[in-house]
Amino acid sequence: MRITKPPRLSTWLLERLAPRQNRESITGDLCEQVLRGRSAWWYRRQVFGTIFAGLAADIAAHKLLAVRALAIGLSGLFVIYGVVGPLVQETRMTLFRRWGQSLWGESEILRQLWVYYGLPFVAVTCLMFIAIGWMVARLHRRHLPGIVIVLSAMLLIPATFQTIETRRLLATELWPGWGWGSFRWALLFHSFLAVVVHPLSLLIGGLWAARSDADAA
Amino acid sequence: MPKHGLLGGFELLVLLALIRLGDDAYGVPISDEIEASVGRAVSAGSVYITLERLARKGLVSSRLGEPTAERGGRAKTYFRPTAKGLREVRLARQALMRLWHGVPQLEGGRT
Repeated sequence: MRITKPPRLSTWLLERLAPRQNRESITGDLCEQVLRGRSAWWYRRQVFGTIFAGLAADIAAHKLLAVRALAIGLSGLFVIYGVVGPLVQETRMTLFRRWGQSLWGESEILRQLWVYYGLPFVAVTCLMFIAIGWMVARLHRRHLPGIVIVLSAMLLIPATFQTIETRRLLATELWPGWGWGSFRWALLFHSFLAVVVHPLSLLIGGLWAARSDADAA
Repeated sequence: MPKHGLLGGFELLVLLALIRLGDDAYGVPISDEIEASVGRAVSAGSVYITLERLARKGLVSSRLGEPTAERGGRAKTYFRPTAKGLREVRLARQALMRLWHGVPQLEGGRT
């Protein structure tokens, strides 16, 4: 389908993640091609091709920086999974034991949101992922804004294990009396967090850092 | 052989497109020229990455044009081959011709 203006989201991504040296020229070129009749689909393909070509070239040219970026990102993830995670779990259980009843009163929905879904803590974890994405992108903004994409993709490795575990749990009859139906939804919810929301949070943090960079330029 | 090694296949295509286009070589016509010759779409990103690499090797030079409304107020970057770039293309041609010459499988359009 012919369009008269480039798709906004793709342009937004291009202005933040395209190779830095030629960002303006590439964005202008693609904009010009759209006005000459290229489709939105063609534009999006070019945007993603450009971002990934730039990312691959950046990593190939700055291998040590790429390793450092991944090391920083992975250390952040270790802090989340190894330190913050258990701490959050413990806090949640303490609050549950001491003030459980007064926190959700008679409401079964509030009880489930707290016990099964751990909602207040989900927000804390997402904020931490955003912070890691932001930090990695800020520290490597000169060469590797797109390294955050690789890091987000790496999150899919633990997420895969979590999904396998979720499938196993869903096939097992566990915790009778906990309300199996609700618990099943909570498991699926946590899998969704790991596969979609956490990598996305990391990406948002990275794009946020790239945005302040693009605005400053 | 040059210090930075021989030209890659895509580098040669980009340099040839620059030579053919003359003074009007910027991203869009370069991509069009390559697309027309190889018969498939090329990504704008890979063209610019190659141009950047050629510039680092001193084979192309660039200058910034004026921003235009058609491009959302963004400037064009014009590229042209340097004398060294032209010499590299000639060397690549000679090397290819020498390799081509006298290979029966590549003559007469038969496999």
